Amino acid sequence: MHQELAKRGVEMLAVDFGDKAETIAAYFKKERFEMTPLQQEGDEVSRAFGVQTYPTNYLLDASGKVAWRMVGFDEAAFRAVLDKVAPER
Amino acid sequence: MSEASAVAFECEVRLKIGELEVPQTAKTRLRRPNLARLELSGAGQDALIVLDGTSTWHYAKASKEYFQSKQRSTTKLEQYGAGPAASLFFEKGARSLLPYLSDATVTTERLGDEECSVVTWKVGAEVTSLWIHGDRLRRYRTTRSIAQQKFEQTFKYGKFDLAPTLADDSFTFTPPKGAHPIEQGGDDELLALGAPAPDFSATAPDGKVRKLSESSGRPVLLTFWFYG
Repeated sequence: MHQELAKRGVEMLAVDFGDKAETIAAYFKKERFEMTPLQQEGDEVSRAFGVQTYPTNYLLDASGKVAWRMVGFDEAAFRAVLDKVAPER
Repeated sequence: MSEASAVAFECEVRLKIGELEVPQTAKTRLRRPNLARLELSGAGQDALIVLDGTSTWHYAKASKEYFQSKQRSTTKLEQYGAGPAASLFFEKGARSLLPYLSDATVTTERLGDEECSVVTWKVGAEVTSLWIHGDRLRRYRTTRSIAQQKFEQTFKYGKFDLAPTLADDSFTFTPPKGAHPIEQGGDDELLALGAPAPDFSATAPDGKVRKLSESSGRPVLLTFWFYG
């Protein structure tokens, strides 16, 4: 999934809530995700996006607008939007 | 089903995770445009869920706890135990399936004395099947494998009553005697679709500070998570 998204030109940012930097780095190294893990200051980014439940996912289009968002992840719903926002190349 | 203003049905919901099975029964009543009442029983998690048009109420019978959250849509009913019938009744959700239906296979299968069409499609690692008899949804099953663990959720629908007799207070929640409210953090105030995402800075493991605006011109999947 992550590799496919990378091929479609989708940038993947994983905003962490509350973990230590070492934990995040170790986890992402082990799992070889294509995502860039990011550590936020407190919960400021979560709050700006209205997130209280984890995981929550947002898909932003190329102009930075919210194209889709969901608490948790439903692949079918996500893919329906993905084809519009980042068509296969 | 699309002509009725209200519907009542019972549904057996069975969640299978590997060898573990969690059976529940959901007694559901829905009224357009956005009212719902779900009575869940089984698996030691008897609960009442009421959508009154402005709020979603959850009441857990065992702990006598309830909480209220803002009702944003009826789509969560799908997870709560009404399954896709709620989404179809409120005319949401079906559209997102359409692109996949062209790849679906259709077979027939007998459920009891009903001859059903079984429509099956696959999205990524998730396989979904619908059993339809005439114009009625009879069963819905979705199966996925995550890290070699198999998850399977099946909804078996009973008869749909398209002219149900509904009590006046079907879609209002009155806390039962002895019930007490709890704080609930799960009602997210997510940004609206189409809203511009606010810019932010956050730190990558290498210590570099990333700003969301550096990704402008590219779509971004933003995942909020924690390892714990």
